[in-house]
Amino acid sequence: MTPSITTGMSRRRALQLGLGTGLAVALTSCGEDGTSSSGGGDSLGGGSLTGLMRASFIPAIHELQQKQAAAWAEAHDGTVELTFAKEWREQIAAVVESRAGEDLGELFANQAHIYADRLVDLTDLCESIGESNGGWYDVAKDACVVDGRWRAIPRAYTAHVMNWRTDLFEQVGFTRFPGSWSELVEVATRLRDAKLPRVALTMNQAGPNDSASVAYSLLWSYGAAEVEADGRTVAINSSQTREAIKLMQELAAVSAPEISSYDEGGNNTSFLAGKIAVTQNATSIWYTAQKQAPEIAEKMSHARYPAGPVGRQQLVEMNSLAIFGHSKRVEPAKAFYRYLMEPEQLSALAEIAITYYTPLLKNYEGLRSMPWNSEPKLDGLRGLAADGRMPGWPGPASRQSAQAYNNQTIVNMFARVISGKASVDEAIRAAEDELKKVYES
Amino acid sequence: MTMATDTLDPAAGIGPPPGRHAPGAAAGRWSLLEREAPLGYLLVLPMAVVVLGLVGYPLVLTVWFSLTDKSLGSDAVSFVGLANYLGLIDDPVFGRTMWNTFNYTVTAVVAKLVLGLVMALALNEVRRFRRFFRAAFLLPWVVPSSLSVLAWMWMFQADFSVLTYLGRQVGLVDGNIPWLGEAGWAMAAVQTVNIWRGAPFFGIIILAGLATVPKDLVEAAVVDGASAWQRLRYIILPHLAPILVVVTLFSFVQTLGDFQIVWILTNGGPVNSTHLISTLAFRTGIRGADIATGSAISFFVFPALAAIIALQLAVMRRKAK
Amino acid sequence: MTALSGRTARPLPAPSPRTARLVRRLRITRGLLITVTMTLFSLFTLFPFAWMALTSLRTGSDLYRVADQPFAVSGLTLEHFRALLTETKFLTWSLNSLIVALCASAIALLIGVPAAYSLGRLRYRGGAIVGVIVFSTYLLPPALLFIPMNVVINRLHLANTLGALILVYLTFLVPFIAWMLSSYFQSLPVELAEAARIDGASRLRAMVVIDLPLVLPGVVSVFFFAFTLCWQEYLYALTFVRSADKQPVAVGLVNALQVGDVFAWGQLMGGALLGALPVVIVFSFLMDYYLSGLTAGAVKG
Repeated sequence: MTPSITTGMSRRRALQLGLGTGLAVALTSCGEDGTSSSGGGDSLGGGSLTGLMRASFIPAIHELQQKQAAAWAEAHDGTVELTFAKEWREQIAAVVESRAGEDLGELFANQAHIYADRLVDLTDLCESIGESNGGWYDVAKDACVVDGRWRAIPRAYTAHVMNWRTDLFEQVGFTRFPGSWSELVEVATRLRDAKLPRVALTMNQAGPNDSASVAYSLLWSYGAAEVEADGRTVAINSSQTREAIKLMQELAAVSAPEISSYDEGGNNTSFLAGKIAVTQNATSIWYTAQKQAPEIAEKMSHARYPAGPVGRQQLVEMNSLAIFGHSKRVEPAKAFYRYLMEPEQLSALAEIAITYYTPLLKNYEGLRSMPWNSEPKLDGLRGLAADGRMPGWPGPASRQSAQAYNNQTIVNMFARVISGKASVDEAIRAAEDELKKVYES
Repeated sequence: MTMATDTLDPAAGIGPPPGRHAPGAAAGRWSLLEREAPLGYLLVLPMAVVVLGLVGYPLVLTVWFSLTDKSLGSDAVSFVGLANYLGLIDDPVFGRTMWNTFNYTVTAVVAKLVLGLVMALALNEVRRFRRFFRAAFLLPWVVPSSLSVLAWMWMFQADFSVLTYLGRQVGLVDGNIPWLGEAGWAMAAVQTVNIWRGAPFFGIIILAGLATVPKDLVEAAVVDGASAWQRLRYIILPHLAPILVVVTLFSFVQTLGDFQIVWILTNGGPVNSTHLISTLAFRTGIRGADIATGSAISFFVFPALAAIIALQLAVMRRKAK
Repeated sequence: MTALSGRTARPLPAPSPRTARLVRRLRITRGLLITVTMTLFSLFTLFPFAWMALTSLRTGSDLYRVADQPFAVSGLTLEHFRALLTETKFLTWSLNSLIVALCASAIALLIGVPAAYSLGRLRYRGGAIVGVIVFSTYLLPPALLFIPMNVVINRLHLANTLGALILVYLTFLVPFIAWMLSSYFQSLPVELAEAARIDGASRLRAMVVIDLPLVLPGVVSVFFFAFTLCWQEYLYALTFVRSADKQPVAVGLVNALQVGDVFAWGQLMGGALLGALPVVIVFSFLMDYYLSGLTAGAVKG
């Protein structure tokens, strides 16, 4: 079952260095017979293709993918085993680093850049998929093209938007969601003064995805950025950043005091319990509300992030498909991916995923099966890919930008000021130091 | 424990060289094993082989990583010497993490020791429902922390915290307590969960130790009019000392490496105020893919661990005399 | 601190009425103190479980009332437990956990007990050093070690098997057992074993027949803690065993019931309770049995 392992120099040296025990001898004796992949075209020849996929709270997403995999496998004389795990990122890290294990994986954000050395070149496949589907959005290329080669297929994105209570907004005189950040401050003030549930855009380290989504999108919409387009020069210390932080300060002052406390699930439950009027989220609140809190589902909707002085910007979470370099079944794996990316399969996924899997191909925008065409409350999620950005924008996606994202430097910059423990300048300086360590060393 | 004999006997049968000071009739055949050193090495050998055989390679590799610019999944690796370590020294997040780790570990271990001791002493006195109490006290330790930490997460949710609710009922607070949203509260929260989970470990091990305190000694002290405090101080505690030392040191090491509680509850936040060495290493090395720096960070537990080992050695040596 | 041992074994001869009153008052205070201590501890340890139980019995939509009236419940349901047992692989996961924990702990005992005896009882050059080296394997947190460790697992062709976990768990179980038990061996009186050796028993025989029974309570409690260490391990289990059928309960449950920002609180809490109770009950009885054995041993010594 387990494919044999080809070892790198440093690994082998470390191994020899490390041990004199019996176990080590056993270890070294069972490697080193790395055979190259057998040709054989798309057929699995009775074998099996294995993959590590991202888990979803929507069971239908797993079921559909399993069904598609089974259908393809049957036509190709073999089996496809996909496992869905919440912490699939750690599993992929372990598998990629040890060059053994599953053949396929679903990559998160800009992992294609991180693991590029160990991923199969998918340039031909991606280009042909792009051609027959109206072309890729820019953010798709940013995520998956490394040094001119496609290392993964940008299957879909997930975006966070404003989840808002239409009824509460109406009570303070708004029938639509504010178009600008300063207008949002106005709504927030009115909600507070009316002693209604308040605005609550969480800014918390334990809610990394929700918080980062607002932090980056707000920052960009004010024309600020963490790094220049060269991806090396740290640019956070700017008057635009100051303006963005001041906006956040004003907003936080009239928001729910819990914004520093809400973690990834916290704002969901609080919104579902009717405790807050606005929060940032993908569509998981909407999904749960329909099942457990129908009266909230009735009274909520989704909206794009407001615009800043330079318009609207949108951080997106990328989900892309990669084949690991150690796989012995590269050709069947490519064929399987081509099948998954065919309009029939991909639109079926997009349809049931209520925007958790939105394709990055331009032809899908107008497709009738896209979720927002059947549910007006999802209209706020329409067409985000065109303005979609990866962390680190306008610099290229890179290891460095991934690190800055994981360090939550931008989130913490806002959080410091909101907590009242740092001034705007102190917060910017702290962020600048952290970013310099990442980008300039 | 017949299994111990099963494994040892075949090995014990090696060679019958003449013994020098083997007492008793069995001397001839067993003589080599009658001497402390050969027997000692033989008995400790399986452990050394298994543990070092499994951990040796990962350990060496991690040390190597920390001296390079290795990034997860990358093939281009070059040696950078101590640069990763030196780069950490003036990093404010790392500095904060070191302090957090110290604070978290020392506070939690001391609290667990004291609570565990009181728990054991009280449990030792109880006659009725003893079994119930013991099971009750053990529960926190038995539930996998991946699950029990989620239960605490639920109790720390800003709007849903039952703890906040109780506090409000008693009139201690009005508004919501920022359990995981403010630096001070968050540190107290993660420490509380660690103490909750770990105190029973102390409690039960100490309880087992209490059972070995000779009853006649205690009774004699009672007759002599020793107060409860005196009995604790001069009879019970000295008798428990070796167990207390071992369990404390072990817990210290475990707490020092604790990962899940902080990772799940706060992810190191707010603003890195609860990051521990292990969570920072994970964030940097795995999520941030910079496994070189991550490895360097993880080796900063070494000074603390070295101190513990030295202490353990000292205790062992004193016992040997 | 006053909750101390010692029944008033032999009452002092002819106590004066005043002393008798004092003794009675003291006894009441002591009883009270013990009661208060036990109550506080029970609250501390059990409250989260009571809360889990309550959460696991609430209906899905009732959950959101917790914000304002945490203890008000409209209609209890066993739905979450039903879903747990029928819609997830809870029983498979529990069985996997059981297999891994039992095997790993048993093997670790086989290796760790002799080592503990060696480190705790025998004096020889380098013994302490060996101990230190082994304990220093605790140096690295699994938070990073799982990456290189996975290479070892793959080389041994154990990827995606329970065997991988059994093997890897030895790395922290064996030092744990050796460390804990060496102190038990140290605290034994040496005279018994020496007497046996004068009667003609070999060192090994003395160890097995005389010393081992004396530390049996220690062995049992160490076995218990080793078992629970396996039961709750997460990161290795997550990365080395990736197919859902083979996962232990700590990983399987969380994986199925908490994804992203959506928590199936009812089932999660129900699972936490169901997974823990059998272990507690079984070991509670087991420990009673051995604690009494221990007391007998102590009197003999």
